[in-house]
Amino acid sequence: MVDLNITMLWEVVNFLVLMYLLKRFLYKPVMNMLDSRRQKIKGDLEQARRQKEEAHQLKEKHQSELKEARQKAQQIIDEAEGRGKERAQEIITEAREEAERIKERNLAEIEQARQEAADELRQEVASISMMVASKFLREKLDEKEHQELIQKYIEDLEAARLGEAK
Amino acid sequence: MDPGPQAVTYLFGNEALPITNTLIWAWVVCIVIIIGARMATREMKLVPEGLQNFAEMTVELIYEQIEAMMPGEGKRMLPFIATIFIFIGLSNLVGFIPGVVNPTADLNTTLGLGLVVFLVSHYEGMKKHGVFGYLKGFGEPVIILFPLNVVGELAKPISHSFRLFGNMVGGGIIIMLIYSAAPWVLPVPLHAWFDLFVGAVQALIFGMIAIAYIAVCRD
Repeated sequence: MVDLNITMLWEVVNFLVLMYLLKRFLYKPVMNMLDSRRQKIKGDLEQARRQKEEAHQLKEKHQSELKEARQKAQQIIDEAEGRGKERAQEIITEAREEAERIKERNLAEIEQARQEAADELRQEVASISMMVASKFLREKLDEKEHQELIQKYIEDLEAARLGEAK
Repeated sequence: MDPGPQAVTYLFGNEALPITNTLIWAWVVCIVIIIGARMATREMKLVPEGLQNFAEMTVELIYEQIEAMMPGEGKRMLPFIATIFIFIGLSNLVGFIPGVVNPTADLNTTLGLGLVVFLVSHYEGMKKHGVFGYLKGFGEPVIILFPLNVVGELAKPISHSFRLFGNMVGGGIIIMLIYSAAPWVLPVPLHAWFDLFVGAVQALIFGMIAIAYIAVCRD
């Protein structure tokens, strides 16, 4: 049952051959695979970390750009608003001035027309007076009657509101 | 009926060169292991599947055992230690198949491996401390203990190999006895116990002790 013989040598040779073959077919490829997997996972994690960082930076950049753009837009709007208000003010002022000018011109025209009307009237009155006077002279009216006649005529004119007496 | 290894034939017809059934089964075990390893690693994928997964798991488990006791030496010692684990493990388990004799139920196998472990452990010790420095270690703590230490060292391969051999052959003897007494009733659970459980435990013990011996010599 227990006899030591040459089998021991065969078993040891067996073992050494098995060790050599397993080293070639099992340990080396498996350890290489484990190593390469470790490297890959490490690399992937590193890459993921880097990409995350990049994305973060990009996001921050975008946000700052957006903020800047918003500020710029606000600035433009403010400027435009300011300019618009200014322009409106200008327009209003101009319009007011124009209105004032038109009004003054109209007033002057009215004044002139009135003046002309008054002058015309005066001449008319004078000519009528002369006419009446000559008529009365022809009809030998006395001074007093003459005077009354003129006065009456003028009053009539005033009553008709043809102008202010000067 | 002799429960030990049986000589099947004799090499060159020489009585001194027997080829035993344990040796033949050891060859079969080796071939199965090599074929399995080849199949597992033929198409290595980054995402492991099936046999590759099993091979990676086994190798990594053994690697971690070595690293735990000899930090930094895992890669170098892996072929030696892992071959012990795998060969002894499968040798212990094949007895589960009826008609198969455990290669480890032969003292030639276990003592052979025990002596290899013995030689490797002392070689590692001398490599680490130098021949003289290593031999000086036997004189610690006092020089008088030198013979005692040497005897202790020589006892290591014997206890190492006889433990495995005794367990395997003992289980085989008990199962053989049960077969002749009650062939239809008891063998199944006993087979499970002696061939699967005891076999797995003894393979683990043999491998761990091999690591421990080497680690102790390197201390």
